[in-house]
Order: sequence, then structure tokens, then C-alpha cells
Amino acid sequence: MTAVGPAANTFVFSGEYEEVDALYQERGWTDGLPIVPPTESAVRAFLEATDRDPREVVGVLPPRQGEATVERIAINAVMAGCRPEYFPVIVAGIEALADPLFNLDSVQATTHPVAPLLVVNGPIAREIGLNAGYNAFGQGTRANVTIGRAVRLILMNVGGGLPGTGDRATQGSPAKLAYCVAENEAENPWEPLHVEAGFTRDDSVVTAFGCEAPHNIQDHYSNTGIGVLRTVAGAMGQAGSNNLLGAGWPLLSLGPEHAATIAADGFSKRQVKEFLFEHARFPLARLGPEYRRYQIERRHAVDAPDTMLPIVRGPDDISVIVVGGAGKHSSWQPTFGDGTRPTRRVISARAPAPASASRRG
Amino acid sequence: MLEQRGVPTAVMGTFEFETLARLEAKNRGIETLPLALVPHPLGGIREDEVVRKADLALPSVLKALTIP
Repeated sequence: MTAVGPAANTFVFSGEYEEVDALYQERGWTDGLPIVPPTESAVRAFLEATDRDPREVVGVLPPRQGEATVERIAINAVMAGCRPEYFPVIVAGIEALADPLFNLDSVQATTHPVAPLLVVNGPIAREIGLNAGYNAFGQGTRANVTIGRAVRLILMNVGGGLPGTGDRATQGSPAKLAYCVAENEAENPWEPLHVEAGFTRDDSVVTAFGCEAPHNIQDHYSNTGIGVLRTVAGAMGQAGSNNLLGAGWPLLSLGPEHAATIAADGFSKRQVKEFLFEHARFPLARLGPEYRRYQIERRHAVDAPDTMLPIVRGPDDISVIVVGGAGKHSSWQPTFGDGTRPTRRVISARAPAPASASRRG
Repeated sequence: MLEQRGVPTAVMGTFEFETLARLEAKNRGIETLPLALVPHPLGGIREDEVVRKADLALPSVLKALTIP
């Protein structure tokens, strides 16, 4: 049975925008940016974008163990500047983050700069205008930026992930402000992420990764699949990532041109993953003495001069998506090591009203 | 959670993260959870420091393991 949480508190406020924003800033109900006031009518418009009960608990969010009700999610989505049609993505995204496999307890509180990245697949991404092309991880598209921001506001305002108390990130990351992207399915030479997971192209699905901001991988010179893959492997097999420390489930976001070069040479997505499992490695001998000892004693690395340390336990642990516009750039997203797994939910928008109901008299 | 399954448990950490630990315990309804805390940090310290901190923690670890 679905849990039911409390109705959101409301209060009456009269004053200018500057005054209501100042109130939210004073109370710490923001990520630092100005907010859009979550008036009852604005919140109602979001609740109309879903069939779910406003008081349904979508997830319980640590460290506060705050109940993320549909209504509370809507309030934060309004505050973030979202449009109502984005709402189903945010609800499904929060559901994915509350999945025990995602391990939000640790993701929220850790010193690591992990941020929840939402990767959106399927028709809804195009319908709401999510950017999968040029600058998809960056600025410029309302859906990407405000959905990502809404997730962060929910993690702070409902989950209590407040810097310095519930969120102890040593340095943090700009990815913690907003981190949401659509996969560039049109330019993906392979099956998109959700189809690989068993859904159809017509399903809308969100996949959550607990990862760092994108680390760029530039290769303007390789014109073969093996050439590009060697550069990618070199970038991913690096010291200092949590994946080298403790494996996990990292993400590779290939730019469409790199993906095309790799696919043109006959590599399937599975073969890309196999190549990276074999070659995205770091030499044990180049690590410092304490780290070397850790790898030998805790991860059973062979103490030999030619030992290469993998960043995953097997090829399937690497996820591959295609994102971006033209250009010879890709990126990889190191994850929070063994401390989080990608989780996935179907995005269900409200069933459209029958044609007769929307016909005007 | 292990303690609730009958496994005596001691939660160790550093004073740097005491507020977070107490907050999480409170939010999970186990406000009286005993904590074995030592001076920060735990990572990146040398062996003599590990031994010194282990000695410091011993009484609170024993207390945590023996109090139901």
C-alpha cells in the first residue's frame, strides 16, 4: 500500500517579490539562487500533471528521513523554475533516488562531490524540450537546468542535505546545482540506455547515477574506433577516482562524433564496454606506497610491476550513453565508487483527457 | 540496524562528524545510539596515530558493545 504523508504547510504572505524571496533565503529554503514563490495556484498546476495523490509518499529522503510527498516535490519544482510538464520526470527521478540501491544516505552526506545525475530517455525528453545536443550538460535549456535544480532543492528542503550539516562534501561541485540531461537517441548508433535495459523506444524512462561532474575526453586526431577508445580508456583509467579505489558503476557519455567513429569500425556497445574493462586501467606501480598496499591487501591486486588496476569488476558495470552536438569531445562521469548503483524508473505522465472532454462547446 | 538484529555494534567516527551522526540517529528514532568518537581525521594517518586513536576509542567502543 502506498504511504500517505502530511499535507504541506501553507502560510499567508503579503509583500513584494523581493520580500518573499528574502524570507526563503533567511530560512535556508534555497540553494542560494532566488526562488519562484510556490503559491497554491502554481503548485496546483503541477499536481494536475500527474495522476498521483498529492499526499502520496514518493520516497523517504535521508538524512532527515523527510517524506517526499507528491505535493512537496511540486512545491520545490515551482521554486526551481520548472514548468508543470516537467513534473513527471522529477517525480520519477525522486523515486529512483529513494531506491535503496542508489544509497541516498551516503550520497547525501559524503565528503565526495557526488551529485545525482538524471538521464532521461524516450518521448518525454523531446516533448518537454530537454536538451541532448550542444551543451547538454551546461547552461541554456530551461528543462535541464530547472529539473536538476528541483532535485537539488528537494534533497535539501525535504532530505535535509544542507551543506555543513547533512551534506559534508569537502569541496562540492557545480554539478550539485543542477544535473539533468537527455540522451541523444537520434544520433546514437547503438540502442539507447533504456532500450538496452529492456524498455521500448516509446517508453519514457529516467536513470539516476550518483556521479561527479563530467570529465572531458578530447580526441581530435583519431579516425578509427580503436583510436578513440584508447583515448577514452586513458581518461577513465585514472588515479583519484572512487572507481579506481572501489570499482562501482561509472558512466561514459560519448559525443555523437566519437560514437559514430567507434560504431563505424564495427564496435557494438557491448564491445565498447569490454574494451574499456580491459584497457581503462591504472598501473599499480604508479600509485604511492599506501594506495598500493590498499589495492594489494583489500582488493587482492597482484603485487607485480606490470599489474594494471581496473575501475570496474566487469564490462557490464560501465554504462554508455550518447550526448552532445558536433565536435570531438566526450566525457566520463566517475561515480561514488561502490557506494551507489544506477537506478531507473518509468516516467508516467497523466493520461491525456479524451478528445471529447477537451472539445469546446 | 545490525544491533536490532542482535549483533553488538559500535559506530565509530570522528568528532568532526558528530553532529551529522547524532542527526541521522535522531531521524531514525535511535537518538541514544552510543558513538565511539576520536579526533579527526581517521583517513591518511600514520600507524602510531592509528594506535593512539584506537586506545582513545577503546572505552567508548566497549561501552557501545556492551550496552543493549
